[in-house]
Amino acid sequence: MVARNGALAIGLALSVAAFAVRVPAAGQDEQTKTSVPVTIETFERSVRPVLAEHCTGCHGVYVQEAKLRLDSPAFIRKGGPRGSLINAKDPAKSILLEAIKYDDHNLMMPPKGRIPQAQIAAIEAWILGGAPMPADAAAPAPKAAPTTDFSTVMKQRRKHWAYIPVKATPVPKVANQAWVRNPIDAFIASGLAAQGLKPSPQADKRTLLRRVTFDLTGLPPTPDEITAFLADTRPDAYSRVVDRLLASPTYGERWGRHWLDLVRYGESLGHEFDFDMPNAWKYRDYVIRAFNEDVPYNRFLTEHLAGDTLANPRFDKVTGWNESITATGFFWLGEGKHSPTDVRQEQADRFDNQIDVIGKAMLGVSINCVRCHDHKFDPIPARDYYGLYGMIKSSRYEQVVVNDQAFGPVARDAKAVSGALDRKALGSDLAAAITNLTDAQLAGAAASAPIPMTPGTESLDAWRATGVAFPKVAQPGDPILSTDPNKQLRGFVTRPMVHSGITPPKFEGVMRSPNFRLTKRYVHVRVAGRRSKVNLMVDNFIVIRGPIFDVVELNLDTDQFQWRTIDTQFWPGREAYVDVQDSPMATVSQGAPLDRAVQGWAAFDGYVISDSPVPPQDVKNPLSGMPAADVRAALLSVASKIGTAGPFAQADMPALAAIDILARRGELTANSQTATVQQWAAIDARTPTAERAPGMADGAAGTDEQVFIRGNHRALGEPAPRLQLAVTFTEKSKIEPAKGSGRAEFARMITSASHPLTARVMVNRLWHHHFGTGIVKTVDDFGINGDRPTNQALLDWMATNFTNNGWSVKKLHKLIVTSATYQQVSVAEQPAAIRKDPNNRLLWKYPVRRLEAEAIRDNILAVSGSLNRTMYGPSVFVNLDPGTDGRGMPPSGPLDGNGRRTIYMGVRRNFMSTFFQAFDMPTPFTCIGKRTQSNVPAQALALMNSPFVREMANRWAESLVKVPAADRLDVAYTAAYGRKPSASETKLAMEFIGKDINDLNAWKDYCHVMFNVKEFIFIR
Amino acid sequence: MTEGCNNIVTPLSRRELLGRAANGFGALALAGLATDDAARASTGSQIITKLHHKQRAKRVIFLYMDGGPSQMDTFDPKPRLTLDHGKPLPMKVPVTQFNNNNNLLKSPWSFKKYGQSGIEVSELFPEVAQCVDDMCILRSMTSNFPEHTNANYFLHTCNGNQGRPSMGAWVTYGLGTESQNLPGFVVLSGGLIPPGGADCFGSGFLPATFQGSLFKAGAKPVSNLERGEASDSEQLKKLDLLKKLDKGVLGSTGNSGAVEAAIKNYELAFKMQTAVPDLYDLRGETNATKSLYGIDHQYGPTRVFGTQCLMARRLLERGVRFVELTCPGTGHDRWDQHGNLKRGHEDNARAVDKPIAGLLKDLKARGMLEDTLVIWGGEFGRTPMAQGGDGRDHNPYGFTMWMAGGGVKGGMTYGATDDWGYYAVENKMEMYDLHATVLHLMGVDHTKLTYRFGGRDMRLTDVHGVVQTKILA
Repeated sequence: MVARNGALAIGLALSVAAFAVRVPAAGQDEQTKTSVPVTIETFERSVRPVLAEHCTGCHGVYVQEAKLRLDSPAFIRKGGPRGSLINAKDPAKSILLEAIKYDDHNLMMPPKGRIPQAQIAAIEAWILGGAPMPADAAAPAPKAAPTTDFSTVMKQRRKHWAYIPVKATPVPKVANQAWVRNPIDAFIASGLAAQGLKPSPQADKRTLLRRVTFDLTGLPPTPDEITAFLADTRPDAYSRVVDRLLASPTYGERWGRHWLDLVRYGESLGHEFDFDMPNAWKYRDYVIRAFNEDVPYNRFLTEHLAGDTLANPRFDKVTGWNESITATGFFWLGEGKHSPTDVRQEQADRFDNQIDVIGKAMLGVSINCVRCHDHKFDPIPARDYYGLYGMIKSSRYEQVVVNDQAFGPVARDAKAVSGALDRKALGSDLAAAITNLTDAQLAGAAASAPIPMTPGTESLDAWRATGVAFPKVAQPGDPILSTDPNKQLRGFVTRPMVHSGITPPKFEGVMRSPNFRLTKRYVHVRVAGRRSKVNLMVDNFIVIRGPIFDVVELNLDTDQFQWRTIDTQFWPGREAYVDVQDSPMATVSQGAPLDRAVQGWAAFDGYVISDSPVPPQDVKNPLSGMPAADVRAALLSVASKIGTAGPFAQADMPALAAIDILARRGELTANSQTATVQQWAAIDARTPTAERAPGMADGAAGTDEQVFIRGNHRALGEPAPRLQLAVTFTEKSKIEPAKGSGRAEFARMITSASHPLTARVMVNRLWHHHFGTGIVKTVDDFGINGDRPTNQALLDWMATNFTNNGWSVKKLHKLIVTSATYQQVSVAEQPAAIRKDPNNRLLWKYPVRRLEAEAIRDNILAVSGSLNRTMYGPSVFVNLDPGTDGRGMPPSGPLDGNGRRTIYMGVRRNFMSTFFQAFDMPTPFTCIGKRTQSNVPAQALALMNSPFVREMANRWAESLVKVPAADRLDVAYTAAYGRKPSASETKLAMEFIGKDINDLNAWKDYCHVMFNVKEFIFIR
Repeated sequence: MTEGCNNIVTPLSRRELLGRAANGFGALALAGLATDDAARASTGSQIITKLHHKQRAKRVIFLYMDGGPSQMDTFDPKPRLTLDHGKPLPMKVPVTQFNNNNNLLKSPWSFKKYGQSGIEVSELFPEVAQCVDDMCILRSMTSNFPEHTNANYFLHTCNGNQGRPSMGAWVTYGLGTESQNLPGFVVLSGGLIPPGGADCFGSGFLPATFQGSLFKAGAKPVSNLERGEASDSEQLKKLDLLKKLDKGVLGSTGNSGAVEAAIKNYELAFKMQTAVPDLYDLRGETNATKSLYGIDHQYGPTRVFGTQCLMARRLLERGVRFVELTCPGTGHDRWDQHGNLKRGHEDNARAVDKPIAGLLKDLKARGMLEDTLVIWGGEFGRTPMAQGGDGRDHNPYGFTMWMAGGGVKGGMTYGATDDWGYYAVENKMEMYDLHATVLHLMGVDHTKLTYRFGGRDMRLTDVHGVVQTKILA
């Protein structure tokens, strides 16, 4: 503020001429040197007042941004995290000067505008003159900020109801026992009684059936289902309906969609080109199956957070795919930026979104508020946020192999074949072949087998592999078998390295390095391979595209090892890891799947980081130029070591490299291995193709993050050990130290039955969807700023019941929808209740609710006879409005979406369906537990005029006119509203249709009106 | 309400809400009438019922120059840049989007003084330059993002990510609209969809009522606006049946407020069917007016944008609160001239210069400029260094926007970039400051216009923003 006004004072008056006085460039510094001697007085007169005016507000006695103070000479000498503000050796390069001159965009102070030129000049003169300052009297100690210590605040805040573990709640005794069907009703009746209110009567069977069918499946009851229910007079008829609905696969399609809102499900990355997130739909299918199979909710969450680490993953019974690992895809369903110039900022933004989703969806707390400061309302210190940040940073994106199970047999077979390989015979074959080589062959091999002077990949133990292509670190002398019985060998491994040639060609996999720092500009890698890739993953950034990021991806297509260089000019000092991929789809979110054959291999023989753009050069093989006899002897010696599987010495490398070349050239046969190679080829032939989905892999040893001061990734504060969040919500003794990323431990902690939030939040979500409003209305915020529960006893009783029932979501549904509370009428004349509880928070009746976008469209499909009940698979593109345009625009899909349920319609971030959005389907940017319920003309216009709705009305009419005229209206009303028409409705219909009862056009118009009647989109 | 705006508004009854809804399309209280309670929640208790201070601008036109026009070539003359042409920029340069920057590139266009104020404008904008005495040129704008999409979101929502409410949504959420049959926030598309798509104009976590309605260029500006029935009377016959059937439904839902609001919705939708064609019917405009806007211009894109500008005025006349215009296609990639700067900027400027000048003059002549705020600008500016021989890269560190009318001082420049036009160095203005100032002009304190979402009271200006009082008239 001060700075702004200060600058303003002269800003407008400043002429271009005045500007020219400014000395911007090196070389002109001479001009500013003044002949007036610089003294302590200069500091007191020209510097201290300027600092006081512009700087000490943020760098002073009360606030010390960036841990820097400028309110005394001692502090100025001490400086901040970047050291002293004055560079004694080279005053012109003093940080203070750099900052106020606005020469470096990373450091422009004060941030709101450059200080007047005269003041800059004075400070510059003072610094260039040696920056004399008075010896400092004892510097005033920093005063405590005028707030209470945060740990004290934390203790206070942890008394908030939602942070206290759930206690078993007794079911209240109520007078109105006749009404009570299960304990839920006792809690509700008790709440009503306290206000002198009473519940409403039970709804009629038709209303009830329509309500519960939409609620549990998102579809209307069919005429047959209505007839059956009406005819079923058994006392448990309703309960049987509920069982049937919960067992229907359409249940998962309905409740899976609710869950997708929480994890901001999208199938593209948004941003400039709306790139594809390949295979996102597999996550959607996973969610549907998980709900249908009633996977215990704690297991469901565990799979989301750490499904890749589970010892006992679940597999889909039909496809055999690994369900648990597919769940981890939720991390990657958000936005992904294209070509960020500040990749660390992008990491911070992406992780923030992931943390936000975890916090809100799973725990009902706004953890992401802590990005910039300790939480303003809840007991969450900033350290906790960055503990989760470290957890995500220590994990790796990949297109995980979901049919990993199918690779088990071939991997076992390949291991058995390699293990049983007759090394001795191989050694003898090689010896015989080498003996028979001509001198020219030997010389040629030695001449074309240069060897590296650099060490190989260090500490390969810390590398981590996924998939089957990299079962171990390849060892010197390991043969690269071919699949051709006539040419058994494709080469040899020359020293320990990452090399997938030791497995059959179709084996796919990824091997990753631990994180390292880009301490110098150039990363040189020694690589070879075919149809494979090496990627440098900088700050976990995955959208590898030009401009900027194309350089981090190296496509491998050569048998001969080469040095390749990655220029990391944009990312000095950043963290990175190397991904070696024997699989084109394994890691990077390419927009389109690569069509390259999956057969290939990748080898990575170390990297060097240097300041030079020139990679280290391999040197001539020392065997080259030696007498043939000596070469032959050296090769024979190494061949015998191959026969014994080593041990090899560094000195063996030249001969091993020559043998590798000879084998590649087909000049070494190993007939003893023909049978092995046939087995190898057979394994390769039965190797399946990988099915992939976005997901997580664990890195090696995890790395912690530091707190970003005020959320600024350039200002690092205290270390934030992973998993600190546990401190907030579970007992201290239960915190597990993080192994690997810490995701598995985090999952265990938050899915503990004693966790105060997890079960409560989920129970409340079910309640929200069944009654339109949660017991805690702010479904994503149970924190201090959220709403209080209207009936905590009920919430806690259900949470206990939920965890006691093995976290079964379906049992909880059943409990809720079979309660008398749920079965009440929605229209009740209770003047007292209307007065005392106009918003029906106590549930003295059932609330009237509008259907969601998906249910409206599915209802139209179902009623018009267009519903295609096919489940799963890649999404159908939405039908785009005419005139839609933009980068990355997908093709427009069929008008009726092939009749598929709305959950199978594609969700392209930048090209959302306007029909769905009109009915409040949210843009998937973060966790949305509660959609807005708006009322906009676009809704009426869509139902009145959209080609889709009209087309569906036409189809419906065409089938309706085939029904005998006497039954026609009954059939229509039963399909659309689950009931028979009243006499007045029949009269209106007949008047509208007119004289010709079979007038198709009249029926088309009539059906269209039926879709527009509010009963069609509301349930009561 | 007494004073201030943070007062808790007394919960409205359903009747009151509906009554208000009837006052206008997308009016405040129309939002979220799902239940009475939900209605209050979604309209928020902080909807402005009494302005925070004197309102200077009743409505806004935002001329959105998608792609990032170059400040050095339009409204921010840099003699030093001309002098130093071909030399390296003598400052540290952050990574730019393509980062293949060459040396300094002088502007290919000359500047001239205009008006009483003598403000210099480049020859790219000879027509707009004539209005310079009504314009406040903001030469020290900054953005937080050098990539289009983030910067577009940031320009519109003060947040670089998808899913936040656009400024037009906030304004209509706060002030509603005075239109009876048109949405409060209209985006007139000239044909180009900005990177980031429709979410630049979205309502984010605000109710959908406030989202920008995209009126596309071409014959069918609004989706689903055309009735499928052969005539009005046929459609009315259906709507009449619908009304009667809905009446029964209303009874069977106990006169649910949500159902009643949904029924009322059809009246508005029906009116909109004719209101939009009326809007687009320019037969009532004189040839002089059309000519003023460049609708008879020889250059096609000028005709497109001229029509958009005229349409903007017509929307304002009909009570629409916030109109945003996107650029017409000129065969270049918006204002994003990484190469081909000369041709690209010339064509883009030609497409908008005459229409914008026409709009300003027309608004002034009709007495509308004094309470209409016109804003011009892109998501960032461009580098003084050349990209290739004839291009400029993205520059979020210092660029120009301008405002006119609506309580802004005319004939002034505010802030400055350095001698070459790279960094804002004086009165540096962030997007937050721009939006704080716009809201201020509309009689709204930006710190008080809030909406509770995800545990926080969200604001357009997040936790930032300083009203730039020096530019207020």
